[in-house]
Amino acid sequence: MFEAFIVALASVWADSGFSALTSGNVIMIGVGLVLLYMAIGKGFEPLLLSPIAFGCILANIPKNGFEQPGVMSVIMYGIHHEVFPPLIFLGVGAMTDFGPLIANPKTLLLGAAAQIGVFVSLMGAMALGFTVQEASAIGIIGGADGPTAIYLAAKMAPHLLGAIAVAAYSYMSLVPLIQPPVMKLFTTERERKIVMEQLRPVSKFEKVVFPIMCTIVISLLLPPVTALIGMLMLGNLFKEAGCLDRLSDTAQNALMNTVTIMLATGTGLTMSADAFLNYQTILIICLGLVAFAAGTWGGVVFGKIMCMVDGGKTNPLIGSAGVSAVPMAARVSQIVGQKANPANFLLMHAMGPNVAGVIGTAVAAGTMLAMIGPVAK
Amino acid sequence: MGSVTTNPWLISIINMTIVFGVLIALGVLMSMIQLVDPTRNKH
Repeated sequence: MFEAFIVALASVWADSGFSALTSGNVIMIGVGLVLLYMAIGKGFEPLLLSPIAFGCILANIPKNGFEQPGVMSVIMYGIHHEVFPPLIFLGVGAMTDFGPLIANPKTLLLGAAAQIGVFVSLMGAMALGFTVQEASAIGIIGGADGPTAIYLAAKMAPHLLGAIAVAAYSYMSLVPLIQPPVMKLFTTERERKIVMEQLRPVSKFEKVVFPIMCTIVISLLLPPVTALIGMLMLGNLFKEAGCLDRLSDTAQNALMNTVTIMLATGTGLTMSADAFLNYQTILIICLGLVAFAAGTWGGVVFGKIMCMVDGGKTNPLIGSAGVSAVPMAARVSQIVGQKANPANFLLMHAMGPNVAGVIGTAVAAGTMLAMIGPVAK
Repeated sequence: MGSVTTNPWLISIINMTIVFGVLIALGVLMSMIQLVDPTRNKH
């Protein structure tokens, strides 16, 4: 009887995850625990980082059977076939007010200028030996737009998806730490104190027609990003139409939360030790930081040019919000501006380049897909 | 479609030009929407 007990015990051990646990799995479970601490203990993007971290832990449990049909394989299908990013964009659109952008269309240029971070990191990645597809996917981290980064990585470098998603979301949560030094370095005290004129009121007609026309123009020009832009603008139409409040409420609350759980958990599931623990991941993390800093620089410098051209009416600090990261980058502009001049309220002015950055990143992603093409799956 | 070019400078310049072009076009679109806004006089 004792012998049978030992045999049963040995069988349980052999079937357990402990018997197949590698040092890589242990390290990645440790990474997951650190990310959980950052999310819950330190409050860095907890809604995103918590499920990413938990997914990372789950992905590194040996013999987890996630490759079998089931909820985890459905989540991974949604990640690898770009189902979730457009659904997230639907919710983002339903929460976005394009009013500040429509009221001051020249801030679109700041959203475009901040995309320079994408190309600085693209060139850096190619110099470091990444292929053109991999470099494009890495570069889009500089857009500071998680769903677009995942969308492009799934199409152009699926094997780097985990590292790219983690870099994008980690740096998005660190925007309040990364941006202010760059903003202060490239602006003078006098520029930071500039008070901008109040924005004109935007009519309901403009707010309703804009998402429709924007979808038609951008989708016809760049069909590969129709899903992203189309869902972003559909969500915005729900918000602005005035007769679609139930759909708007679902898109920005219930659906957004559901898809966030799936997208973030699925991103964590891509962080298995064999896919994540390599030299390329370290390079991607470093290139992501360069991309964010360069994007902030591009936006601020273009803001300075705009300030010179319009006779000092534009505060260059709003340029840094062009890196997307809605609405955190706009809040950073507000905080840095208010430190220089307590009477300064830049938030609504910074929302213009902020939402322009979302469109700019999607356009940059679409252009790269059109020019370079996705990898064969 | 395959890769048009693998020159990172060329990719960046073309891409930035398109990003600026599309966003400028959107700016023009916004101005046109404002011009044809039938509710404009009410403000």
